[in-house]
Amino acid sequence: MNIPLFEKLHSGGQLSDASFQKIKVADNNRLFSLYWELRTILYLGILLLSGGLGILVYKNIDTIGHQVILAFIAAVCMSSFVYAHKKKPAYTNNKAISPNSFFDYIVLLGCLTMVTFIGYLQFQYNVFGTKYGLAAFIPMVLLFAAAYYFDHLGVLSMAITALAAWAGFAVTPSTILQDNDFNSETILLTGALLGILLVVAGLVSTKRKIKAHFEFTYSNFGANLLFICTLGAMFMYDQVYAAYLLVLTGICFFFYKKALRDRSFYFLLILTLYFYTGLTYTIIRGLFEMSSDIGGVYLACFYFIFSAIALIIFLVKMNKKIKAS
Amino acid sequence: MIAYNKEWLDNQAANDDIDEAYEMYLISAEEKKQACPLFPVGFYSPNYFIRVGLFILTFIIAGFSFGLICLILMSAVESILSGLLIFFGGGAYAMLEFFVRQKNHYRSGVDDALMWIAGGCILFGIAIATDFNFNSMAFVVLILALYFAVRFADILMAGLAVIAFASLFFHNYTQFGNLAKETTPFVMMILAGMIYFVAKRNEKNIIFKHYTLCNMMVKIISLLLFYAAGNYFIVREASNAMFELDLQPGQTILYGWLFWILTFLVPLLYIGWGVKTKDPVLLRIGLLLVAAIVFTVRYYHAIWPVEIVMLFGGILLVLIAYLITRWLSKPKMGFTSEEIKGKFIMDKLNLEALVVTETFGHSPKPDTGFGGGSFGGGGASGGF
Repeated sequence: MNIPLFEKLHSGGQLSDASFQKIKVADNNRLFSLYWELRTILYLGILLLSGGLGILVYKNIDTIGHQVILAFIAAVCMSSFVYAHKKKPAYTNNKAISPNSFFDYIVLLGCLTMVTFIGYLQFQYNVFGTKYGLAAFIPMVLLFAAAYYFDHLGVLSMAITALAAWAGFAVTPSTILQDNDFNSETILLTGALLGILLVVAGLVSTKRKIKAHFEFTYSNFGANLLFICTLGAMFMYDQVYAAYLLVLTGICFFFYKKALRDRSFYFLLILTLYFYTGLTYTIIRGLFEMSSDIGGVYLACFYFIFSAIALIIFLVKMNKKIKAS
Repeated sequence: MIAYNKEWLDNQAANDDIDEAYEMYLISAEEKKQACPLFPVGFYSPNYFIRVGLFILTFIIAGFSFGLICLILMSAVESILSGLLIFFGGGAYAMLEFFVRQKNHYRSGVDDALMWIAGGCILFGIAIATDFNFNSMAFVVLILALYFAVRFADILMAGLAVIAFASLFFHNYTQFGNLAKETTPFVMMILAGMIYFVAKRNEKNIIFKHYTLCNMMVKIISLLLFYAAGNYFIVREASNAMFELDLQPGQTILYGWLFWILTFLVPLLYIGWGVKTKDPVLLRIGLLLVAAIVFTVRYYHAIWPVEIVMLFGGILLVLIAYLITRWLSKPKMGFTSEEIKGKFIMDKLNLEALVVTETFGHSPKPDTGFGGGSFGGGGASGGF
């Protein structure tokens, strides 16, 4: 603490005697926090542990020892969940305060080993047969349940990823998948629908006040998925790329309103960059369709310079606007 | 020296201190409201995400401006590319000065981008002119990085300057023959140690108060350099590759045992010293380098398969973290396992009782009317 500064404020009358005393005492009794060091060590430990188990399974998949390994993974998973269940705060629709930082990571360990366990069951014993969708669906449901039950943002991210994987399996008939023939048209459409679904889930979270702090994770995944799928469609259907610019503009307008409402600089940045990518693609394509000589290249350079300047002015203005609100 | 308005830099630091005291519930919202206007800051420093956007866009503008110039000059470009780059870099630098001094940009993304564009263009211009000669390139990097670090107090430039200086020194020292080659690791360690202690001594110097973060970066780089210079893997593989020793697997280097000792000892010393002096930089670098010990050992002696190491390493790390957290469930010897924020200090230290004791000597009277709730800070309505 900068004691001379507070001394000056104290003698200038901005600081009461009591506050100044408190600052001096706090400065004398400064504590050194090992919070982030311990958290990092824990996180690394959990990652190494679950990663090591994964490799162990992979290497021993056809030896006698695999049942022992399976039992060990199940034991780690179960004991993690039992510990987490005992320590967990009572369920609330608001943000639950985690009892200690150890708790968060034990939940994470339980979920990671659970995914390994189910994957192992499917690979070795073919429990779900050729219903790959089901093999992806069950971990997804369990992960979502764990995310809400233990109030864990990291597990929620895992669950959303599992949801995307399941959606991919569900829309793609397994025969096509085995031939490695991805039908990108359906994949793009599914991605866009999934994006919309996640954004809606975010909106519902805030509206109904059910774990409102999950909203950002949902919206973040949803927005990026939606933007990427729209841009992907724009690049793929090159006859109607200009039409997709309209779709993109609509999506951007939605997130622009949302960014202003939530005072979110992050969403403002990503919508600007995605929109700029789409707009630039349209304009540059249009430019080269009209003229293929050197004049087009000049125009393109001027477009980039002036559009970037315009965007800088836009971002500066928006920064002011959000800060003022 | 520094391009930014010094008074505003001081005021910004004062504002940060006041914010910190407020966030720790030491001062009330009203006191904060009264104190902050005394320290006006006129910088243009947008939000972090906006800064990222401005950074990218400035790069786009500069890139296409350069492209446009090249287009106009067309065929003549190749012969004058070096001069053109230096000229363009100079232009970018002029823009940088304009934005910093006239428009008061401070860490806005625009100034960050212009600094790297100016430095990069000038460097490449000179590199082309000198046919990518190592010494002249390293020298130019050193001069440019040092200049930008001093002029704009940029953290990355400060680190880059140390790296450029060390590689310039290394490159030229190893030219001096066999004795120089054999002593290189030790000389590099001495060099890194000297840089560290200079930075350490400047830390509290009031002259360098605007360079605190640059100083920290210099310390980090010199600590890493010190370790790298004595690490068995780096010394063996580097001397094998650079001095054409043609070592076979299993063969060791001169003083191999000494480098093994250094490989193990240095991180532990960093950690121990960091704990003893409560220096977060030393402690964190030491912890990071424990990973380097593991990698070095496993590279030469793969005793167990990797998954077993991961499994037991993971269990060990979780156990260590768990035991330390439990041991520090109440603050001990000035350490705590919890994050210092919000009312933490107040709750953990029982601060109000301490204040009372210190204010009224060693005989606190219970009924002085100075009891718990009347402290302004305690009632401040933060967002917690």
